[in-house]
Amino acid sequence: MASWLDYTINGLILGNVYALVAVGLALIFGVSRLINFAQGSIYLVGAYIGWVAVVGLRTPLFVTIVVVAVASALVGLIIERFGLRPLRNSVRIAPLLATIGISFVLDQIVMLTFSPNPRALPSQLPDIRFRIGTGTIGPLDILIACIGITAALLLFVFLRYSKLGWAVRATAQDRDAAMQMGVDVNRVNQTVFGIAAALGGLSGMLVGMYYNQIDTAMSLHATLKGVVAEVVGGAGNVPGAVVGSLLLGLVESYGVAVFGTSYRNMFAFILLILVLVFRPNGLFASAKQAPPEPLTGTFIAPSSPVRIPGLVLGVAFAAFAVLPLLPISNYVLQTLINAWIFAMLALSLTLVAGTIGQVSLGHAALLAIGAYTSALLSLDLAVPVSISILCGGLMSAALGTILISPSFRLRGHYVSIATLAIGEIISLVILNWETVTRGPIGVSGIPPLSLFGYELVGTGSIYWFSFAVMVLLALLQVRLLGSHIGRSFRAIRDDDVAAQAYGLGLNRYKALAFIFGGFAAGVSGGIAAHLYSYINHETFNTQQSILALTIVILGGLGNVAGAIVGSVALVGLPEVFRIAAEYRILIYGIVLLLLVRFRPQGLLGTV
Amino acid sequence: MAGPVHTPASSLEPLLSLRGLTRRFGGLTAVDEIDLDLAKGDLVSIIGPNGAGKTTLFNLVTGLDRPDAGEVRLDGQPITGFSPERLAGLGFARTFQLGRVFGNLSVMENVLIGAHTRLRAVRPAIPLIGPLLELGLALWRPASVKAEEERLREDVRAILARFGERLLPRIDQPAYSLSYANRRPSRSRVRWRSSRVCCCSTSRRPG
Repeated sequence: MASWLDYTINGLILGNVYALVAVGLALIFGVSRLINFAQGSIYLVGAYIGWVAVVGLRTPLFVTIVVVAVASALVGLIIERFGLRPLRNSVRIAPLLATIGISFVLDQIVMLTFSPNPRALPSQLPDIRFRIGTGTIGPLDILIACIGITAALLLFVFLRYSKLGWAVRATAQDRDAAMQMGVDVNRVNQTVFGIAAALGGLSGMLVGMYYNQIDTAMSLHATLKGVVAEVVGGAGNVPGAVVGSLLLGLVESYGVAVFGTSYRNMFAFILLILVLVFRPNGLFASAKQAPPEPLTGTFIAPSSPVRIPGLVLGVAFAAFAVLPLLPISNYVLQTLINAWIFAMLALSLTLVAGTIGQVSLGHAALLAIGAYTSALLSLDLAVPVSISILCGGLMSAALGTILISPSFRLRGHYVSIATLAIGEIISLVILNWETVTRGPIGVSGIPPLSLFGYELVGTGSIYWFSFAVMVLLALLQVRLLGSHIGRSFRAIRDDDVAAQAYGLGLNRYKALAFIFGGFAAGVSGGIAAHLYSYINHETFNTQQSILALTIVILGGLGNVAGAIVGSVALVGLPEVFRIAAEYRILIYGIVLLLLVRFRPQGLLGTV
Repeated sequence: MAGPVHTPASSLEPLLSLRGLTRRFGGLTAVDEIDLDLAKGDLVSIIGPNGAGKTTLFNLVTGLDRPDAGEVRLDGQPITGFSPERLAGLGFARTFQLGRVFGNLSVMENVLIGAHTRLRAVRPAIPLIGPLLELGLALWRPASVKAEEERLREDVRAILARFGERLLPRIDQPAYSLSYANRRPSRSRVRWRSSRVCCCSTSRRPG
């Protein structure tokens, strides 16, 4: 029977582990104003290096710690040198996207090397528990606490008393002034990435030992928890990150004690949203600080979009429309159906991320809302499928916009974090709200697609249906972009302060973008649900959100035709070349990285 | 920046008045109890060295920042803490030091954004239903909305044609040209409350 003291100790230990990740994030944010989404991947890499050292090389504990720290630091240095430094002078969003790409590549490399099956990471410490009052504490708890405290002390001494540490702090305060004083900013960046990666890797190893299990799914959650802790403490605030981590650890531990483990991650995300909404500068800074003046028009790569002649569009439309009449294998049609479904999602994301500049990383959650609404309506209430899909779209538009609305007051990278967290919350609600969503079992036996009472049998008719819906949504979106609303969206993206001064209500237009985009995503999810006939809380996951983002960037942010071309390319081509599923995500990551580096405006240009 | 800066020049009711406007950043009081009255037609310059708090004062008045104390009144109505978009709807217009323009929008679109508060298609101000109506109007685009947009575009085209030669060499200062275009809708169809204009400008150098 675990006591409150146990939960407190557990919370503080968890907090210590999060702190190792969050401190690295805070250092990086301080120096380069970047939220490093690859931090969780380094944590994953650290855990597996630890596994190789402990299980493969049978190193003693102390050596393992050193090996993990040094190897992780090396990974960090490589990321900084080859992934981020070339992007120094590019658009503001580029480094963020690059870290997402890097994290996908690293995760997949680890997964392909070690297989996705969980592994045991023995802790090398004697398995005894000491009694303290009503609780117990083990040697591993003490080790984690020691490493946490030692790392914090070392970092404090480094930042306070070494010349390089001063340079780091100076750069964090004012990059330009530091450069003028002769600080080598590249060296500062390197140092910071090295330290952050070493701490992140250690944290991964310790968590692996603590639960005696490591698997490749740890990465995303580590990033999220670290980011939550960092934001709670105030972005870029190193001591704040430590306090934020301990707070997060305690909140989670007590939360699990009261509500049970299936809600564990929910607390972190709700804490994150609360902090972002009420104290966006962190718990320890004044909430009323004036926002820094954003740079003008640099959030996306400026370019003039490629103008596609109407004739080409017409011919392409006709060619895809008659495709099922030609002697073509069902396999190609099925692939294209998938591409059209993703195109609808991409249309939605290109509007939200490209046209109005809210880079949403939780977009798959909108699919999930649409899919569940449509599936449950048609199953439980026997609503005709075509109407239930429409309802799915409307539900996604309404519910999605309401849920995402706390992020409207945020800017830049914070929007991405908040939407990612909101996406996770939606997925957790679906998992836990068993009476409606059937929880972890998922919804099965979803009726197939039908139109006006006629069931769509045969791949050809499903193809036409999804193609027609996609084209319809695309045309609607083009019409919207041509109106004053499209103009207002783009003005807000380019410079929200000036847009406000001209009388554009930011909340109003952001909400409109999410309503319109949510509808398209919801319809896409609805069609997908009836097509797959089975969905669960993991059908629409973060990987799909990132795939959608890659599609959108490939096509060109805000570009309607680009979203469609991008989905055919990214969904269709790997299928055509029969690339194994586990390599696909690796390819998406690499495509994202290459695009960000060499063609940030995408194939058809940003609009 | 401190003190009562300005006393009304005329005996008219002030159009814009600030009372005890204060803004502190930590230990620094950037704007210290400013009292200021501006009447219709007044042209007032606010001058001071770098860091005196001119832009902060502007931000407080135009809603980009919130004062710690004091109030702002427009026509006697308190407008302290109103959002910039609400103030823009009341006829407040401002430019920015760095000449902000929407880099990815065409000149035409930049000017049309300046006319945003005058668009009838934006009017539905009812909460919740208003924005949805606006979305519906933008998608359905009935004749009146189409005509309004076309009229505005024609105005801008006329301005661009008239000032085209002068606009081109000024491409590095587009904000100047744009604010000019916005101030002068052609054919006096919209007088733009010219009787209500009061100007306020800041300048770094005295004299």
